[in-house]
Amino acid sequence: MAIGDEMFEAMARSSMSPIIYEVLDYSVGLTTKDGELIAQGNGTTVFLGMIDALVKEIIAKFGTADAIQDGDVFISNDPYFGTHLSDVAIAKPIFFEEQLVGFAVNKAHWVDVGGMVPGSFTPSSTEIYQEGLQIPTMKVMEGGRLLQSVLDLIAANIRLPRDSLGDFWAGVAANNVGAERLMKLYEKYGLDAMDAAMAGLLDYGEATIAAELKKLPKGVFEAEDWMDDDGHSDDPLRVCVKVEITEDRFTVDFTGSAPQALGPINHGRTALVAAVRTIFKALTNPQISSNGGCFRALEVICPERTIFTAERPAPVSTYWETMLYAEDLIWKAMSEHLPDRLTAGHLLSVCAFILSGSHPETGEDVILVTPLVGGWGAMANRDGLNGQFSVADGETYNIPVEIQEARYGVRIKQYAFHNEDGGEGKYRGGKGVYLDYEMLCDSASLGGSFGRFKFPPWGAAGGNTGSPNYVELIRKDTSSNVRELYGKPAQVKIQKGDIIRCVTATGGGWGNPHERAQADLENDIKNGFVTPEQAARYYHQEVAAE
Amino acid sequence: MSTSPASITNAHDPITIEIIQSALTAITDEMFATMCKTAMSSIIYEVLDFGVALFNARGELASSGSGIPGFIGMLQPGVQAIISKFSGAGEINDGDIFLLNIPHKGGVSHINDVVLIMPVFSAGHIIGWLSNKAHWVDLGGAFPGGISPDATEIYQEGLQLPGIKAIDSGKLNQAVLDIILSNSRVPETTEGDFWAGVASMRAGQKRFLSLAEKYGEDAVRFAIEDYIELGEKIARQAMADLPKGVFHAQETLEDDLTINAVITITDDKFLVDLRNNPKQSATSSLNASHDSTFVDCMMIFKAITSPETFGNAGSFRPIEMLVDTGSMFAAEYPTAVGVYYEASMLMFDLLWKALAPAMPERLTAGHYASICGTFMGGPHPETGHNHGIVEPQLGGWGASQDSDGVNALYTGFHGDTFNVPVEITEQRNGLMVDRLCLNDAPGGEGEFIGGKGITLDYRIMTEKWWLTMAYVRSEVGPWGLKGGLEGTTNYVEVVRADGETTRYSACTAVPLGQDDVVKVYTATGGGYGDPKDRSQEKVWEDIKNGYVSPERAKQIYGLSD
Amino acid sequence: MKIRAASDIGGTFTDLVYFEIDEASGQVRSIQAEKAHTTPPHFEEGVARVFEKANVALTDIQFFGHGTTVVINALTERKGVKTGLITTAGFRDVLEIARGNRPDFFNLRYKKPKPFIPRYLCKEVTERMTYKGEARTALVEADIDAAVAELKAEGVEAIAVSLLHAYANPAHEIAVLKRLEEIWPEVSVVASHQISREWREYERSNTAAVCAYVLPTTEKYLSKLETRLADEDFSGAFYVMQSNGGIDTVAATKRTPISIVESGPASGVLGAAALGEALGLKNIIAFDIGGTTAKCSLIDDGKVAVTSQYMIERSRTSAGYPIITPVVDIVEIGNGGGSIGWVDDHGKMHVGPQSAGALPGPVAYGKGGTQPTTTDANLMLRRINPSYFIGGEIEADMAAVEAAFAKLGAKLGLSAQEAARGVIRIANNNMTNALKLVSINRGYDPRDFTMIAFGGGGAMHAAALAAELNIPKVIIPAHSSVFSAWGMLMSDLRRDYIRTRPSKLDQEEATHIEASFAQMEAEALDAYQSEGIDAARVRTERALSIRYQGQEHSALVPVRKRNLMAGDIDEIIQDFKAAYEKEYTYRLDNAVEVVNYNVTAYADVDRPKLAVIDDTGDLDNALKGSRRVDFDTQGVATTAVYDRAKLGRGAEIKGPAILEEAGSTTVLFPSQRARVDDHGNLHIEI
Repeated sequence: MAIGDEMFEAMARSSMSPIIYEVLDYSVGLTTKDGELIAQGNGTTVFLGMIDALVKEIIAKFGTADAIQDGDVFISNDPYFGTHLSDVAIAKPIFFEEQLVGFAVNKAHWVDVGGMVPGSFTPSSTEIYQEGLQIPTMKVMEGGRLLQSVLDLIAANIRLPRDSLGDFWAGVAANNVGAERLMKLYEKYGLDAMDAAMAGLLDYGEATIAAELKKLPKGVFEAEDWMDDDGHSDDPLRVCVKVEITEDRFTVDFTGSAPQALGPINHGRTALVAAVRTIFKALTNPQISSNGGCFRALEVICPERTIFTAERPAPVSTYWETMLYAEDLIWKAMSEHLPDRLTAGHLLSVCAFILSGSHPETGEDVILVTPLVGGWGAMANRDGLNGQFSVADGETYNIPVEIQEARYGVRIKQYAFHNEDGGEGKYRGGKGVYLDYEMLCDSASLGGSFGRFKFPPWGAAGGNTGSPNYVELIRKDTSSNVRELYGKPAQVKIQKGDIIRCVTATGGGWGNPHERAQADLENDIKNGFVTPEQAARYYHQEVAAE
Repeated sequence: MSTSPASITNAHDPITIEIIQSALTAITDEMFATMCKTAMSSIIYEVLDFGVALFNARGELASSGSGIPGFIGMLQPGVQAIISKFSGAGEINDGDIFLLNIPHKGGVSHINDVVLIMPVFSAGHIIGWLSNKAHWVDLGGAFPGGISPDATEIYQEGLQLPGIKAIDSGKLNQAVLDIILSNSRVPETTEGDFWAGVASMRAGQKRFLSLAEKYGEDAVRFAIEDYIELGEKIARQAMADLPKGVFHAQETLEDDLTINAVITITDDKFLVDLRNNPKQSATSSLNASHDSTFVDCMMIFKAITSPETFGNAGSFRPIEMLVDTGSMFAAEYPTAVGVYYEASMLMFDLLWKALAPAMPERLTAGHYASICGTFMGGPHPETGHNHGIVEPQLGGWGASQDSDGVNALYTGFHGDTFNVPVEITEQRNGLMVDRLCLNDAPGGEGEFIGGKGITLDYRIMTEKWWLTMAYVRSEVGPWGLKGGLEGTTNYVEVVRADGETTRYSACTAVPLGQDDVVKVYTATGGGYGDPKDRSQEKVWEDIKNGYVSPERAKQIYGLSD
Repeated sequence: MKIRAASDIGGTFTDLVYFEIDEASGQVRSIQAEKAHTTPPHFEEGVARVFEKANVALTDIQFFGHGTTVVINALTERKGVKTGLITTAGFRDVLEIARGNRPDFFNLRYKKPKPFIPRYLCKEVTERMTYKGEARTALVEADIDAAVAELKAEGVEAIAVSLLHAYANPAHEIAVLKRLEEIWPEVSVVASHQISREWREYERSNTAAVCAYVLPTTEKYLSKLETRLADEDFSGAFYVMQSNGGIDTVAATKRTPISIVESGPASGVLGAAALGEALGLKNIIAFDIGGTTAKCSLIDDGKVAVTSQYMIERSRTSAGYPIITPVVDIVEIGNGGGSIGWVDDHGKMHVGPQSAGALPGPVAYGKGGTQPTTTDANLMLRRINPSYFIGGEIEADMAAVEAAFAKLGAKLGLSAQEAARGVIRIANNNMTNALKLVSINRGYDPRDFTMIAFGGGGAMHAAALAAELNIPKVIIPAHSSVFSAWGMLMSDLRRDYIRTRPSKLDQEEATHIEASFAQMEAEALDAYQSEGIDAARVRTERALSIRYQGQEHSALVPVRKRNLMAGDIDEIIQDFKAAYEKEYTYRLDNAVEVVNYNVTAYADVDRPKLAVIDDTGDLDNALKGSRRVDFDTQGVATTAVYDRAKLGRGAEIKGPAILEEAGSTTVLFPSQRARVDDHGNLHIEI
């Protein structure tokens, strides 16, 4: 369905901040008047399933009081109905002949929503109140009239109001495009036909998935994994899943996973559902566009107040790691049973970091936020992909070096694949990268979250575990020869001339390394993906360098 | 919209004007009483950390009701900020109520002090303004209770309200209230305090309008302007009796922080020069906005110019202040200013110190000079609900040329402010107070002795409590006068259940558990005159009352047995 | 012959008011009043003398009500005894620390009120109650003995006992009392819980302290009076007027004399309530203008408002002393007939609070007064008759009065006449503000009320003030100048029991709430019965002070239901929310909680019916003549002057008019009308 994609374009063109303009870290969609998803634009798949959750919240809060009118615009960043405070959703009810026929929704990551640290996420928070401005689901426009007080209030509590308000208006524009487009369809086909069409669309989604479900292996599949820590203690946290597939149901049960944590690695139930839907679609039929019908066969079970089902005021600002674990667990449980669809473990972490300092020329405050690419896992029949974004990010691009240097006044000394140990196998895990930033301003501060620092991507069918994600600080002047490594850097002070090396994981390998084809290995060595020394150590093969 | 005093001719008989002016005070008194009775937080209804005021159409203070003198100067900048922000036609309407709390932009003090502002309309135009400001217990932010010495930018200190309409032409702006409540750790209390403020202003509005109805707008407008003129007249008459000249003071406090003030008093000007003071701190919230520093000048000025009369915009016209933008006494946005009150107290005390030697009939020796803001919180052992204490502490006042200092009184910043009774604090917050008595630590002796500070021991009755506080005068005691001795200091001791003891002058969210005891010590004020000149009978009386030990009496007063 | 008598001892005069009761009809025969000079320190002599003067035999007295200023005088003149305090270990400075407030807030040389008990007489005993009334630390008797030894050595005559949380559980205070009785029976003792069961340790401790401070003095005073009356074979009932608007026995008063601190003013309000009841009026504003002050109080639905938040010596410049004892909720301002009109340095006119008092008195007295008073202004405007001044006792010195106002006016560029009008208007404005404080500010609409005005100046200003506040009707009672004493004769026994017992207010609490009420009611009944008062005469009223959870101040909500069930709670909550919204314009969904339980226990004394006066027919009999009277904004008018004493039942007078009687003058403005009812009360329609 084309409407989603058109909104997507409208937003990209009119948006101001690079996080949207370049990375397209946002999502758009249309729902029925009851909040059933009918179309989903591209963009980060993590939002899949949050759009309808938001609309259902709007209906719950305003629908009963008939407080939803033409020309309203709703806004919300309630993380327990979504992800974290930085993701701000904007929704527009669509009317045809004075009847509510649906909602256009989009959700975008704002660079800063206030709170205890610039960029609004930090491993050190312990309550939602510290993570920025909370915008409960509410109207920001009423009957076409802007509620200036609300917008002023929002602007006053975020560090970069100019950019974020730009994003806000971009979102409004995108929704308008979607709304107009839908209206045109209604004008063309009339109310009944359209209602029928939408119902049909949902049933189609259900039907196709039902068919796909039949092809999946039946039975109970389990997986367990460990998360590094919650940023406050060093204890790893256990997460686990039990997947049960029958002819017509797909049930996942996360009972037994760690309770709600002190640090901001929690997320709410909505995010859990979104995570499960994402992987569920990957397992079934990635081709058809997502709609509410696709998920009717899906059931998600998890007790309250676990790390996957946190409640207010639990902190959630670095939720995504956890969300990815939920996805990755199912992946891990199923990979060897669906070798043609699933790879071994990938970098998993978004490896997002926040670098806040000042521009050496203008002296203006700048905040650099970007996710990183890393290695994917190998498959039963090929090597893993190098330098891919985490599955979380779907169709997103990294910010070009040239733009980063111009806009943020950093110097990028190196952006290349590394060949750290890990991910060896009959088929090799994809390579992670080294990204070296040299700081040009006097002082800056680094925060971020690089999961799988202690527990690298898993190998499958005898393949080796991948390499970890981490940040290394190479100080300009240091006597110590101890390496300065971080998984969750929090407000780490950076001096001029220091080098920040962001390292992403190499994915897990598939199959016994000894079975790797000689030719492939020679290629690896030519390309520098494997050193002769590694070849000897992991593959037990002597390859003469030419 | 507003009418300048010039355009109002005195067509009114003095009796009517007098009656209207007394009504202005009645209006603010009523607003004050209403706030007291309806507020949800003890910081408001016991500590009276709030103020109400009435302004002319141009936003100049005409009358204020307040338990805290400082608040008298706190509201005018806010009203004027609103007047300039909403300068367009039709932007301000009857029944609007605005919210403002950004200190650098008219909010004056800190994020927790929320200002409500309301225009009063008669026959379609503004005849005056009402305003009301109160300490809200929690508006979110990095630290429970919002305030921490460790804050480094305003974004960490809670929700910023940039002068927006909470009530629009009489209609509640639900979205605004929703945001406020979802960003507060104590939404119910916050909502209660919001409505208390609204009730207080509506009470004032009713009275204001009936006044205009009865005597006519013109008479009311004239009476207000005349009242402000009167304020100035009183101030200038009082200035005539002040010693003229240049007075300065300097003090080096904790962390070698050296602050300076130079006051020049001429026949018609009270010039306060605060240039050459430390830069705003980027690592703590011990900063004050320009407007709150001006309040320090207003308060010391009022204390020496007819303190017995009312204060309004006119009363402070002779004041001029010079201060460097970006210094700790004129911090720029978005600098953190959470503990502004200690920065302001440092300056207020310094101005006091500069003038005291020249005006012994108006000013005492140094008092404990710290709000001693003490923030504690945690679950109630009975209910498990979280409770927060936000409390200033009592302390000792300085001695004066003819009398001993006052024991256990709130600071010069406070006024008709009440401490929270032990019986109430124990029930409400579920902790125990082991003792509350005068602090008899030696210090502040003189011909007249400094008043005693207090010792207050809070015993924590359950786990998961925390303490945040920041006191000044923690290393250097209150200054004595004319040979009187320096007083003692303000600090907190945390005594752990296992006996381990730590002393703090500032801390953030220190965890507390069952049977830990938080011991608050506040300073004894400075003495006045040489101790040797204190009469023997008085010294014996002091010994009898336990204000001084016999040994110390011998040593300091040369008491002959 | 049965006589009911009441005497009120003031600074200069001891008043006596009495009437005979017709055995047959049970009706009052004509009310008589008498004055004699007060005779300090032997006040009982003054009382005896006033009876002689009126030649009433004490043997004929069936009921004797007594109001006295002995307590308030002992406090204000610091004539109490050397007193000690026994308090909880760790809190001996409670009186000195007080609440730390500084009302004179611009003043950096503020002085705190000096405690009634110096630090060295404050002794600590080891013990501790929790707010739930559980003993956390047991009472150590040895500490009491030690304290007593020291206090004896210092020669104290009275001891106040005040321990933390005694309002919740007085067991430790009771134990201390018991021990004191054992080891030092001679000393006068009072414990905080005997006076108040409300929380706030400073307020309760200070209350106990001042009560102990005046206890021996008052005890002696009442005993002497008792013996003096006994000497004269008095065999009637002897009651003392209480601050709460009721009377109580001498025995009860001796135990906690602080309860009569506002004995005087209360009785007037009570009279207003009693008169209202007789006339079938439920909503009344009682208004009393005396020589130096004006007092007003609001009676809602026949109920006299009582507060326990009473202060002495509280002013703009002093924190004063709180006393937690039930006192009729009266707003008092320094504006009376003797209040002086003056102009400040900045050209603003004020009236009061300074008063010319009895000496030199108003300028018109010709006793050397030069500063014009409200009374002088009324003379200037001829509202008071210069040649019938104080019932003709004195010929007003109008030359001096004119001169005084000319001088005052000159400061403002006003004529003497304008200045006099100014004084009246400002005085009226001050009184209007006081009246607003008890009505509008509390959410009451004056239009729903009747003003009952009394005292020397009440009749003079009432009509003007009522017009100002849109009060539709004013009643000037018969004998309005001795109305307060009359009130005492119409009073019942009244005791207020207030308990602080914080709890949530919801259905589960219903049984606890009922139990608390029942227990308090039982206590009240026992107390009366132990004093020989028949249970049949005792009735109680219930109220709860309720607030939204988290608030401090609470609203008092009457509870009419008995045997409260879960089902009744919602009704109480709704009553609270309605009352709250009435006063503060909004309501919340927040939970509500109970703070205090109030039980008021009355014991009826059979009150007489009002006498019916004759119909004297023709108005002209009462007409004394006419004069030009200045009605300020309503101009100067030739005005008929009547002798009120000659006005019969049903007489109708049209304004403008002046009604003169011995103690006061009633001013009727143009277009106002008045009617005399069957009992001689004057009803003015505004």
